[in-house]
Amino acid sequence: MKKELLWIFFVVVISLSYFKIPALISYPNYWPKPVYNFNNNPITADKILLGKVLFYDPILSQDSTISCASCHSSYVAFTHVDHPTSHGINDAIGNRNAPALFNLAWQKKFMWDGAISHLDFQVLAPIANKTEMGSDLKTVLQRVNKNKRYHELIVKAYKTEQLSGEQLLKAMAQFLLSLISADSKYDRVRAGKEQFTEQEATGYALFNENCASCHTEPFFTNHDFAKNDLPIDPNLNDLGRYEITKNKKDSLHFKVPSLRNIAFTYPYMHDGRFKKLADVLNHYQTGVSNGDARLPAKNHLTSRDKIDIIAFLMCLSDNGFVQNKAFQFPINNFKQQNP
Amino acid sequence: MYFRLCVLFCWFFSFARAQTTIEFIPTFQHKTVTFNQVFSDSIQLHAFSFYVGQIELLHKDKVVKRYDTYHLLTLNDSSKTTITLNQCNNQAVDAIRMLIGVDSATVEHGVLAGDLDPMNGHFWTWQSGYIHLKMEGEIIRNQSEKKSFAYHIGGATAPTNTLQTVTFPFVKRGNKLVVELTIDPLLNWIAATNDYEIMSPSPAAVAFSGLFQQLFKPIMP
Repeated sequence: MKKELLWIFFVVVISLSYFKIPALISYPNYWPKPVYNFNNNPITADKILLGKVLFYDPILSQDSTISCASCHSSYVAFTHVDHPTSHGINDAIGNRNAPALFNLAWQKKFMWDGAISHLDFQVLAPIANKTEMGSDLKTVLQRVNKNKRYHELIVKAYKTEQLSGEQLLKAMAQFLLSLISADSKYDRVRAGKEQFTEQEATGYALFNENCASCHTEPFFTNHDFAKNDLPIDPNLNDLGRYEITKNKKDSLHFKVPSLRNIAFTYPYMHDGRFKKLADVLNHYQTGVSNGDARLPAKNHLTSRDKIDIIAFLMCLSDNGFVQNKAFQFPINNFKQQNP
Repeated sequence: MYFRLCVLFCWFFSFARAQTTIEFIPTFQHKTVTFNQVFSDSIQLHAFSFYVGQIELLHKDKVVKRYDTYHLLTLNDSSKTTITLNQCNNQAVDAIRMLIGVDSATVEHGVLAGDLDPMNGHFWTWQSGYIHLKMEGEIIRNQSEKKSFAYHIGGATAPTNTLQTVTFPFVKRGNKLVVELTIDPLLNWIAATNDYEIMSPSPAAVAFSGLFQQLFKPIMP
């Protein structure tokens, strides 16, 4: 018996050392393993903190007015609530709804069109976009490396005085990787700690029947791109995934967003055209052509069905995540004024 | 005993490392191009930079040495026109093969340091991917009209894969291989197409990258 236990112990130790999922990244046992390779960017608390301060710092933008947090607020699951499309420096208006940020270690493609193929590169896009921050990595690095606020953070994180582009991007990726939302009522029901009400359970069954082929558990997205028959906005003329692949079959395909924390992240869709979840469900009943078999059948959900589905969707809210102080504005790091 | 030691000593030094420097010199009509100065009466080149990677030394078409590093050559900066390879002394090499650009597997790895650091300005921000080759300048038309051109050629997957592999003879002067990078085909392309700007992966970028094969010519010792 002792011998068997010893073998089991060795197998567990070897398995754990092989996968090297850092202790700072924890998630439920019914989730798959992250797709992000942590071996290439080993997680430390110091690097997460450096990434967090950078995330909240407007010096990333050309005129030092817009930070990442301007459009990704922790209180609403890191999206820009109540804005169809976000605004950047000089009051410029972008052409897409800022996506919520969480559970990013499980995603391979980022942005509504999947333009970014690795989380490490994600922050380059808003930094350089003229309607967002309008700056560039070189300028940001010059500012950060001169700023007293960062000296100790950089030394602690990387044992160096001057941050490189690689290090800055990896530190910001680490903060983004730390944003894990896994404590909704749905998760507690999965863990056997709570139970759905009768209405929520009915909504869950309807959801699985009508929505789950794209909004798949446990992330409530299949991380794929889909066309949901929204008419194109002639002012934005946004063709989605086609803009990147130039493949006609990708025209008007957008990333399937996670429905976790959906109660916080209105307005909805890539261009934020719907303010209410009821509007979204109505679109999936009246606005779809049923060209894609994954879309729900037209006009078959009753008003009661829609209310039950929304009751279930409320179970995907993670209040602990949106109230987590570890993700909020690091005020102590901003008390000291810049030189 | 001493004989055996001598044999061992000689054997060891036959594998000792030597360095080969490869220098790239931009030319037009066989004359060296000086950046930011008018040449051929009407052209100014402001910038020319490109990635080289997956370098392989060949002998009789077989790979004898492979290097996994990538190098960013910036020909308008005299300190960034050469790359240095460590090589064994006794290796017979008759050709060199290299990738012009950075492959998609390297992008999928995540952010990297040194020449591959996005800080170098050779990584697109609006989509993930390296700019394999940049050429920027001006052409003076009709004696006074200046027309700027800018080519940022990238794309590492079909249907807009602009990666190119070039092979040329490995002919050294001492420890140096000097490669003439003749930009004639690129400037001829501008004249032929009237296309002065390529800034994203596209069919035009694929066509432009097809010219890379004609650019690299080693200068014979």
